[in-house]
Amino acid sequence: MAETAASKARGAAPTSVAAPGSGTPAARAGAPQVDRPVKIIGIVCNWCSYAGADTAGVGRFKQPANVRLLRVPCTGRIDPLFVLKAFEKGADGVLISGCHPGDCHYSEGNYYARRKFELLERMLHYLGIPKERFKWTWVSASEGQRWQQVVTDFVAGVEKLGPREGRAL
Amino acid sequence: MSRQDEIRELARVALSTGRVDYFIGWREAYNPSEVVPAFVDEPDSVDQLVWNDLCAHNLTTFLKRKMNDRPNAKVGICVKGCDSRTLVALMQENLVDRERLYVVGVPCDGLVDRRKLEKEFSDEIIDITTSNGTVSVTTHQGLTRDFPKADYLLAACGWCRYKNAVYADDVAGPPAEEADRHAKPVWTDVEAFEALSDGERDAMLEEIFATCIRCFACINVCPVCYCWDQCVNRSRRPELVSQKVDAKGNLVFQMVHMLHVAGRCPSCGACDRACPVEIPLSLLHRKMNKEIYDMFEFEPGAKLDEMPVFQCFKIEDAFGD
Amino acid sequence: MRIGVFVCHCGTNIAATVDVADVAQRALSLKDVVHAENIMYTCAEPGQAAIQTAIREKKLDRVVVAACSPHMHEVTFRRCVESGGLNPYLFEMANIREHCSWIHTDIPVATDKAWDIVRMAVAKARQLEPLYANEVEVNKDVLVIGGGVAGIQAALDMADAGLMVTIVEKETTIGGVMAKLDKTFPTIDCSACILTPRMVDCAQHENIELMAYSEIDKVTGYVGNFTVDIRKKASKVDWTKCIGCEICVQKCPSKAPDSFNVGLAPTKAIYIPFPQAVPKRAAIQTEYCRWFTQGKCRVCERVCPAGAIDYEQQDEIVQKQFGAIVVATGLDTFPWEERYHEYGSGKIPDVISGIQYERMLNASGPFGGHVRRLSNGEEPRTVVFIQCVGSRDESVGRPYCSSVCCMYTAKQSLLTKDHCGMDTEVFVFYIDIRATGKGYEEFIKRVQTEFGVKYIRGRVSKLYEENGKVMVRGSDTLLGQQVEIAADLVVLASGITAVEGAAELAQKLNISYDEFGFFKEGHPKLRPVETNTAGIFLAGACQAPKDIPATVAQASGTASKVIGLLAKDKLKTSPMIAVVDQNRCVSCWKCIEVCPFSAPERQQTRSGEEKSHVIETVCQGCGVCVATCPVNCISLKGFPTDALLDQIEELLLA
Repeated sequence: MAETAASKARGAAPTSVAAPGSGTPAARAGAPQVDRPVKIIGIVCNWCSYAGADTAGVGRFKQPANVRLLRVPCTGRIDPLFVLKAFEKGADGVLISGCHPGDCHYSEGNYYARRKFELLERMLHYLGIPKERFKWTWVSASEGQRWQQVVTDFVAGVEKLGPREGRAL
Repeated sequence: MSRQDEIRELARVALSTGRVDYFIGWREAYNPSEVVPAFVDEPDSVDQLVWNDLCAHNLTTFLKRKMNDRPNAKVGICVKGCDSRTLVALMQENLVDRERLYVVGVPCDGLVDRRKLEKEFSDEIIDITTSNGTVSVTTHQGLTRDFPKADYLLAACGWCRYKNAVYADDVAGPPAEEADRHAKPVWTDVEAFEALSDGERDAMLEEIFATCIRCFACINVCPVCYCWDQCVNRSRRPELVSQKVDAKGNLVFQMVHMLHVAGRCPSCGACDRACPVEIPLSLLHRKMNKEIYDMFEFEPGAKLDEMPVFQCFKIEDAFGD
Repeated sequence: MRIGVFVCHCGTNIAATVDVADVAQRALSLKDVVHAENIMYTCAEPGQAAIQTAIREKKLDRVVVAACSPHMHEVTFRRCVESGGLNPYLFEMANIREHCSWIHTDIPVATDKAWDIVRMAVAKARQLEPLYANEVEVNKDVLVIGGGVAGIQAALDMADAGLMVTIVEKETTIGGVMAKLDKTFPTIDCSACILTPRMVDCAQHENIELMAYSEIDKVTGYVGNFTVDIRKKASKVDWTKCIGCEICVQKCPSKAPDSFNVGLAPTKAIYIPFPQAVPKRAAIQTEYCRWFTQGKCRVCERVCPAGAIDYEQQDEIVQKQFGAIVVATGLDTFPWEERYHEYGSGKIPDVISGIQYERMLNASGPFGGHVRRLSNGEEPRTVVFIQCVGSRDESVGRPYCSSVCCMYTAKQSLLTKDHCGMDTEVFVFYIDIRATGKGYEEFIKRVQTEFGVKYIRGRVSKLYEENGKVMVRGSDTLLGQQVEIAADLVVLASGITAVEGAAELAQKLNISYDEFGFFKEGHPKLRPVETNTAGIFLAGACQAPKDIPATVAQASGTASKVIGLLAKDKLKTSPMIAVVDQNRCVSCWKCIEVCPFSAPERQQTRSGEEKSHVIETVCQGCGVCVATCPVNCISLKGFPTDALLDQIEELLLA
């Protein structure tokens, strides 16, 4: 395989997988003793938030590397149960983002989503998942900087709590 | 006439005039301490119908459209206040054929929790009667003890705001004194759990749901749960819950149910009563209804002309940022 | 399954931060992955050829390309894969550029993230199925709702291209607001002179059917196959007989409000809006007609030479089929009397709106083109124009700029000088001057310098009557002082609004509208004439306030989109739509309730039961029904639930 700039650099640098901002276990006093970066699933709508994340990329707006995105056509497609499954399988945080109400590409999908996620958020907290681990918001296709801000703030909040060791979920 | 007599009379008339082909109510099972649902075909058999403090069953669960034994039959049914709300929820979604229904509203002053009484005895109970706020329980060995009814109410009666049916064609007897529905609902049971720390709630829920055996009784008895064999909890494609039963999976299983009935479940309590391992499902559905009330000031199944809140939206909804 | 993974360097865009060779190497360890390579520029010809070669030689049945965003190149790679012999929907992209290499700098961290993204894409690819686009027959007739200049332009363009067009207009004549104008900026063309030939063209064009005095009752169907119920309102006059001679109007004894003249002067209960009306036919406003209110009169019936009066006439519903619908319902003006109480709430007779002044200036208007004070009928010596009444004003809920008022105020001030003499004092109170079109800035300068119109930068706080004048109290912010002008006539440039009933029409059509009632375009930059409802297009001010050049340009653009849509005999629709598994459907109909496009329908199955069925050509693939279905029996092709769950599970595997 061709040698790339990255693979050359990789040969030289230590192969640590610590995400930026994760700190040492000691720094996260009170967090469980598991030293791994927090893993966050982001479920985003194709037309606004996925494109907004693209815009952030085009603008090279740096973000922490903890979020992995799942693309759906509309936030209305997102069954709240996906979020529960994500937590059940071990996600440390879940972020949902779609078009601003009124701008939905399918005109109404996010209006339904808005009601469902409000209820889900309240239930999640009740089930023992702290508020900082779940967020749902709206980012439009042109809001690259907002996407950067949302991701940075959310990851920081989750990192403060550290990797999740839930018992009920 | 007592309410029991009224029910029997209304059923007799409905059956003999052909207004209904069969009538669903409650009857004694093998002794006066046991009540089970009754299906009465003949006007002469209405005397089996009873009304007492043990008539907890939400009979509307038998109305779900897929009940196909007698698809064109006209059905009469008794509903308490709580039951009438699941009936209204089914009507809001056009899942029951109103033309074929004859609904008898039964005003209710609260029912007795048999399971709680059982725990007071080591012997089998053979009779339970209530009068003037006192419950008299007799066992097989002849022991009789009295209890204040107020301390042995069903959990669902503790949060009841609808003592009279919200929908009925006829009412069995004078109405019960209604709670002030303009007052905000009280959620002390939910608030007690909310007051615990995140870690405490997490641990308690794990302990509770570890005992679930996935018998599906809660889902089978729920009146607004109508997917039957197609229930996504049984589905392998997509697979939301595995057949391998563990605490986390059990909680996801219940949350699937809860989120699917959100906006249609009036906390009638049938699921709590059906659970063989006594999981307090009210912890979940009461919390859900508390939040729904907070979000929309909506009580599921209270008004026929309302739309369940997750089937619709308002552009002005102000949730989230 | 045989999956191929192609990891792109994208030059140094990805390779500088992600060790693409390593990622490709790791991909081979995934179940079902039989081929993995890294490519310098996958979208370029050699890259695409490499994919096609691998499909053939390695007999791949799924392809994953880890590169830029699917918004960039998903279409490119679908085509590439299809040319390589694989169904284009058995393809998935992993975004490791915009979402990875471009936003991180730490190489090991970015590489691990890219690896996660690729794993997730492979997990999704396993769940993809081959999909085939649907084809649907297309009706080539077009409905244009609204006969103003936008509707007229679009109709003529489409009719010239060979399509059969029906124009439905709610008034008795087409022409819209442009027919009410006197002259147009910046050329001071006579508005009716440029518009009426077009109106006549519409009436005479063999491909255009004009349905005036009609409204839309109901719309069902989907792109290529709309069914529309059109209500022909009862004018109480048989239009096959009426010759537009106006004898009935002259003889009618009842006065009635004149909406064409915006309330400046009354008309009769039986009326024809203006002499160049197309069609030129009379109609009776029954609430002002003595026969309908008191059972007396019937003069029009007696004097009509054609015997056209028909008091028994009823509304008629006509049902027609169309392939596409153009919405061109136009504009109205802000009802300033209801909100601007500081300007007299409409009670001061000499304070009028811009559109009323337009009618006053118009030679065929109620005053024959003579500018008159409404209080005493004299010609004004001092005229004050106030801009931004109902625009750029948060306090009345209209924060937007109406786009045309600066120009039409300038035009009206020029015409004032022209009609009343150059020694007439004319003032314009403004906040900013927006003169962005061709020749517009020069026009403003001309009005100020050549015609001596005085522009005062400031707002007017109050209008009140004193000694027979209208006192205008405002501020001149450039001079930094308060000013007070004793005016004879005050013209308020009332802002542009959507027409009444816009929201109801939008709901019938299932298109979106904003809080002001303007209809929503598909995308503000890239899809300005389409809506998010396939087959329904927009033209003119109903989408947003705009002037006549922009309206005509947009209308022609709309026409070209419709012509393109209907150029084919069959329409290909996206196959990434919802499909119901009728074996599992429990007929709860929740999907029908929530679908924004009315795509699911009740369908009789062969066993006689009713189950849900999604109309393939209407479904836009949003997935709301999928998330709503309690049984989860609706699958969204391209985004199946199992794929989403597998992606979550794959990521969270240690």
